[in-house]
Amino acid sequence: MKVMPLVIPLAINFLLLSLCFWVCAYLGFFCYKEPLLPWIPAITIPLLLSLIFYFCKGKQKKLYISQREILLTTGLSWLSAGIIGSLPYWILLHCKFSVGLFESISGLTTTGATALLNLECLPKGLLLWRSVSQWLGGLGFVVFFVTFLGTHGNFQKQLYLQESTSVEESVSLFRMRKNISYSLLIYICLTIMCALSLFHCNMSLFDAICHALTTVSTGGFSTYSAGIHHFNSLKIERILIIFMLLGSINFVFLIQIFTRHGPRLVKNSEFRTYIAIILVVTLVCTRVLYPKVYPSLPEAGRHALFQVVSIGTTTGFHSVNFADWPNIAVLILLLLMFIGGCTGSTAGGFKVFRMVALCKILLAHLEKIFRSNIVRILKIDGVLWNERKQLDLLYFFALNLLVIFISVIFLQILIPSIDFLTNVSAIVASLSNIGPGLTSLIGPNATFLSFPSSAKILLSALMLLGRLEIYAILVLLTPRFWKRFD
Amino acid sequence: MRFVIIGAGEAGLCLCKHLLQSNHEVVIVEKNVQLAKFLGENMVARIITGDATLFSTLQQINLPQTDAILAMTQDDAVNILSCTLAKTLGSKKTVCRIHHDLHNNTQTFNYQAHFSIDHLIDTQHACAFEIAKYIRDPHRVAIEQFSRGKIEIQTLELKEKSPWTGKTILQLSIDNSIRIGFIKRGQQHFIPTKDTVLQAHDLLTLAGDNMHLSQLRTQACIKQNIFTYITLFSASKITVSLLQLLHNPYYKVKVIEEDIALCYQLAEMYPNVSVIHGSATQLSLLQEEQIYASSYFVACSSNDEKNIIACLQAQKAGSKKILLWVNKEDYDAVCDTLKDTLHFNHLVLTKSCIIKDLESILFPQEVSILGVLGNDESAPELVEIHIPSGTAIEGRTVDNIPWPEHTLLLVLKHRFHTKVPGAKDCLIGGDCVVAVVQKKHRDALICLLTQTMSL
Repeated sequence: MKVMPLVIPLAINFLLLSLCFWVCAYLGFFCYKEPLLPWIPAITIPLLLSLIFYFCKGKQKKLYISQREILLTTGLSWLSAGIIGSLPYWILLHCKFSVGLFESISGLTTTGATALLNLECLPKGLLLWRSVSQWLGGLGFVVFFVTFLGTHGNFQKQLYLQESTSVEESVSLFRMRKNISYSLLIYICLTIMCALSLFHCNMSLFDAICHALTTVSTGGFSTYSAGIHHFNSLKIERILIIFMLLGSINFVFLIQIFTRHGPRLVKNSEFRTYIAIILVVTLVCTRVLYPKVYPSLPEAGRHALFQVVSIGTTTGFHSVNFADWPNIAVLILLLLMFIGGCTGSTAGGFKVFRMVALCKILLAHLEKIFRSNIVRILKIDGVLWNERKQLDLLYFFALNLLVIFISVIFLQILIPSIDFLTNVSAIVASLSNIGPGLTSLIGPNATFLSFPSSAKILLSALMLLGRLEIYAILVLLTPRFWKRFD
Repeated sequence: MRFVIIGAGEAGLCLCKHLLQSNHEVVIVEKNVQLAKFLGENMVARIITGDATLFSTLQQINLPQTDAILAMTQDDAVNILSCTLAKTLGSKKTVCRIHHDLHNNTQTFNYQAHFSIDHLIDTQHACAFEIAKYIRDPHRVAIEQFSRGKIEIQTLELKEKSPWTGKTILQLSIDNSIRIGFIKRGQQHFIPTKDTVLQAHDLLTLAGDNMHLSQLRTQACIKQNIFTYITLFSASKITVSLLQLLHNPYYKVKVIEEDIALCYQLAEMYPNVSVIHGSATQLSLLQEEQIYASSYFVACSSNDEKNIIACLQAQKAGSKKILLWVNKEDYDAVCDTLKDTLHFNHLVLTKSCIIKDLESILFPQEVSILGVLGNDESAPELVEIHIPSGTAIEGRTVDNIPWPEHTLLLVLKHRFHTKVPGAKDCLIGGDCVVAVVQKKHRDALICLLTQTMSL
C-alpha cells in the first residue's frame, strides 16, 4: 500500500479545518466579544499537521493509484476530519472525547444528532462551527478541495465516485470538474438565498446564517435546543421546506433547471417519485394527526408537511415533538428515514433512485415466478440496468439491512434498557444521516447525551458509514484490504 | 430491357430468374469464381466474374445501355459503392439493397441523396410490409410505406362525449400538418369537406406525423382501448421491421426467440414488447404464454421448417389467425398446398415480396391505386400519382390548382422528402402524390396531374 497519495488530501483537509476554526473564532471574538485564546490549540494543531504532511510529501512521482489507496484516502480523510473537528468541543466545552467526536462527526456527515444541552448558552463561535461543519460535510469537502487543489486526475475522479452518491459510471474528468464547479456554485447560491430569506423573516443574522448553512446541507443543526419550534413562525418553516427540498434534489438536475433543461427534471423518475412520496406521506400524516393530535386541519397539515420534508430530506429539523405522534405516523417517518433523498444531493439514506430501481427489480422478479421465460430489460430514465448493476443494488440493500440488524444488536448490548423503537430509530437516523430519533428518549426534545460513550462511538461510526455509502468504510475493516500480496 | 444484377445470392438469383422469364436481358456480376462458373454453365444470363466495387469490373458492362443496375449482395457497403460507381459510369437507374440497420438510419441520414442512388430496398422490410398489411389496414400501411414512415395514418372513432362531435371540420382548427383523409359513417366512406359536420361513431382516418396525431387524439378526448394481440416467432430481421410497422401502442406484441442474447437485444430495443425466451415449436410454452388470446400468430424465423411446426402448434394452442413466412424459393410450389391443407390464414413468400417491390421500381406506373374504400361511384380511392415534367400544373402551388371535386392531397413526395402538403407547397415534375379521390373524379385528377402541356 502506497501512503504518499494520502498525504496531500489530508494536508488540504487539515488546512481547511484550521481555516474554518480561525473564521469561527474570529467572528465569535469580533461580533460577540468571545475569548479567542481557547481556540488557539484548535487552530494550530490542524495547521501544524497540515504543514508536517505537506513537507513530508517530498517530490511525488506520478504513481498508479489503486482502488485501495482511494478507499483508504476517503475513509481516513473523513475519520481524521471527525477527530480534528471535535477539537473545539473538547477544548471549549471540556466535554468527553465521545461527546466531542459524536458532535463533530454528526456535523461533518450532515446528520444533525446532538449530544449537547442548552445550545443557547454555548459560545457563538462554536455554534457557528457546528453549522459550518455541516455545510462542509454537505459539500463533500474531501473531493471538492482535492479536486481543485490536488494534482492526480484519476485520483480525483475515483474520489468523486467514492464520495458522491451519483449512479453515473462513465463520467469524464472534465465533466466531473464542471459538475463539481456548478454544484459548488449552486450550493453557495442556495445558502446565500436561504440566509437572506430567513433574515427577511425576522431571524437574527447569526441564526439566519447558521440555519441556512444547515438547511441547504440537509444537516439539521439548530442554534436552539427547541429547534425550529423556537421561532414558531410559519414563514420560516415555509422557507426551510423550500430549501430543504432544494438541498435534497440531485444538484446536476438543479443545474439543468437553471440552464435550459427544466422539463427533464419533471421527467426524471427519481424526482417524480421523491415528490410523490413527500406528498403522499404528508397527506397520510395529516390524516393521522387530525383531529387526534391537532384539532385544526391546517395546523395538522403544517406540522405534517414540515416534519415529512425534514425527515424525507434527512435534515432532521423539528417544529414539534414528533416523538409524541401516533405510532403509525412515527413508523411512516422511520420508513422515510431509511429511504432518504435523491442521489447526487446532500441528503443521506438509501436514496429514492435506488428505491425506484429496487422496486422495479423486485417487480420483474415477481413476474419471473409465474413466467419463467420472459426476458425483461430494466431501464430507468433511459439508462440500462444490466444484471451486474441490479445485483450490486441488491447487495447494497442487503448490506444496509445487515448493518442495521447488527448495529441494533450491538446497541442493545451496550444499552440493555433501550426499547426497540428507540434502538432502531437511533440506528436508522444515524445511518441515514437524519439526526434525532423517533422516541422521547432521543427525539427532537432530547439529545444523545444520556447514551454511554461506547454507544455514541457506535452511532458516530454509523454516521460515517451512511455518509460514505457503507463500502468505503467497511472495506477498511476487511483483512484482505491490508495484505500486500494475496 | 437490360438489367445488371450485382451478387448472385438468393435475392439476386430470384430476381434474375424472374427477369429472364419476362424476356429481359440480364447480366450478373459475381465475385465468387466457382459460383460464377456454375452459373455460367447453368443460366442463360451473361456472367461477369469480379468485384463490382472496382471500376475495371463495371467497365466490362456497357452501363449507359443498361436500364438499371441492381446491387443485391449481402454487404451494404458493396451495394452502395457499386451503385454510386455505376451511376457515375452512366447507369440510368440504380437500385441498392440495404439491410435493416442501414434502413433504420435512412430516417436520419439521406443515403440516397448522398450516394446518388435512385432507390434503396430492404428485402426483409418488404416481407415485413406484406405481413403488416395483412394485420393492419392495408391502405394505411401503403401510405406509411410510401412516406417511409414519416407520415402515419391513424383511425379515430368519435365518441358521443368527444368535443369534436357536432362540429364542422373548419371549427376543429386542426394543425396544418394533419389531414382528415376520409370518414367512415355507418358502412359508407366519404371525403370530408370543411363544412362536414362530425357525428358520434364517425371513424376518422387521419394522416400526419406521430407527435401531432397524438396531440390531436388528446384534443379530441379519444382513447382507444381495443388492442390487437400479436405473437411473433423469432427475433429475425423481419420481426424487427415488423415491430417498427406495428409500433402503434394499440398493438400488443409478444416475441418468442430461442437465442437468449437476441432476446436481450430485442428487449432493450423495444421495451414495450414482451420477449419470451424459448421455442415456439413447444406447445407447452405457447399454452403458458396464452397464445389463444393472440389475434395473430406470425412465424417469421429464418428456418422454414420450424416456422411450419410453430404455426401448427400455435393453431393447436388456439391462436385466431396464423401467418406463415416462407423463405426458401424451393418451397414456392408447395405453398398453396400448405396454406389450404393446414388452414393457415396468410402466407408470405420472400420471393414474391422482392419481386413485387422491385417491379414497382423497375417498371413504375404513372398511377397506381393503393386502395378502394367501397363499391359505388362515390366511394373514395387512394391513388398514387407520379407527376411528369412539363404538366400544366408544374410550378403551381396547391391552392392555385383547380382540383376536381372531392379530392384531398394526403402526401407529397418531393425527391427524398415526404410531407403532408400545405396550401403554399409547389408541385413540380418528378414529384409524387398520394390523394384520396372519389372514384368518379379519379380520371379528372389523373388528367390534371399527368397531362403535359400541348405546344
